[in-house]
Amino acid sequence: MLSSITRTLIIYIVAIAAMRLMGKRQLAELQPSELVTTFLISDVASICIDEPELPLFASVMPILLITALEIFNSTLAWYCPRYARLLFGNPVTVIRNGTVNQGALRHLRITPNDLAESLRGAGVFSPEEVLWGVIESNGSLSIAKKPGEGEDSPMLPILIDRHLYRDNLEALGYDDHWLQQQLGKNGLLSSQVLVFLSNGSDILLIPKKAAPKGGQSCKD
Amino acid sequence: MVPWQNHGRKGACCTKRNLYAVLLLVALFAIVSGSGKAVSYCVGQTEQQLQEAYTLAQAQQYPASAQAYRSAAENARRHSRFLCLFVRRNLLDKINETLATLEFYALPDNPADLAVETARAFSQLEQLEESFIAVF
Repeated sequence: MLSSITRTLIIYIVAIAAMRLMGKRQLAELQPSELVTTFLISDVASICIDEPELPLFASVMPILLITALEIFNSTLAWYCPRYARLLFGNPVTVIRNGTVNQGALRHLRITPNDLAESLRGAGVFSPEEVLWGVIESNGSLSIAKKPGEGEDSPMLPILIDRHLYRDNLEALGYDDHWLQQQLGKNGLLSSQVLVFLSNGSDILLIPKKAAPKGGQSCKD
Repeated sequence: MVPWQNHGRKGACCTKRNLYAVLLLVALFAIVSGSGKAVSYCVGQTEQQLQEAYTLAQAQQYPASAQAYRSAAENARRHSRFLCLFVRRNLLDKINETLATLEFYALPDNPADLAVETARAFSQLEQLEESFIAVF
């Protein structure tokens, strides 16, 4: 009994330290790899508490090892966008200008009911109110509502860390040539862009090197 | 403030977190390596004591042999408090039970039983070490 209490205390402290070390990202986003990490840690921790036969170190060590691997993995994903896309996947547009992309829903195996539920969760009761709806790589739905009278259109991502949102580019009536022109005006290559957003009239461009000191916003 | 503005602290934090991860891995490696050596040392010491006790029994020095078996069992029990952090407790219990009975077989009228039980103890010690160093 005493051993069970000691083990619970130790595992509790180690698991909290591990989650804390992995950072808030682990608690907020839960991308596929992070979900696996969290499941593994919780499983290993509960096995250790349930089974006093198991050596304590055999449980503490996997938790700490998974923590270190997760940190390296997320750092690699941060530095290498291709690896991040491979690891996390890409967001998928499911609603464009009030029209539901049924092919994308089928591809994602999301039923219309699931979509309607997510929309209601976001305070939207009709897809017609949505300018752009996207299923994020963590499975959640993000939406940009159509602008009201006198309001500006929401900014849509065009290029984020080498990932081109081609459907947004085309939906705004632009093409690659326009994008290259905008980047050329600012003396940038697409690989040097951290974030490029546009709503058709304005653009927001944050170059990668300038990111640590603040972005650069410009009007079209 | 410009959206997505970074105040230069995130990069440092990211590096610091990686440093912690590296330190964690180094510490884990050191602990695994150190505990591996410790497990091998404890098992090796018990094996040596068992071998000595059995040699005494073969030389028909039964009281000395029983004493040696008892001392091996006591040592193994002492080591168990540390080894239970690294190897399964049931394996430790098994070897401790076997070692605790060995001194009572160190008698002139049952050399075969002593041989069997000593062989069992060696095999259990091997299992104990295997449980720590086995890769799969």
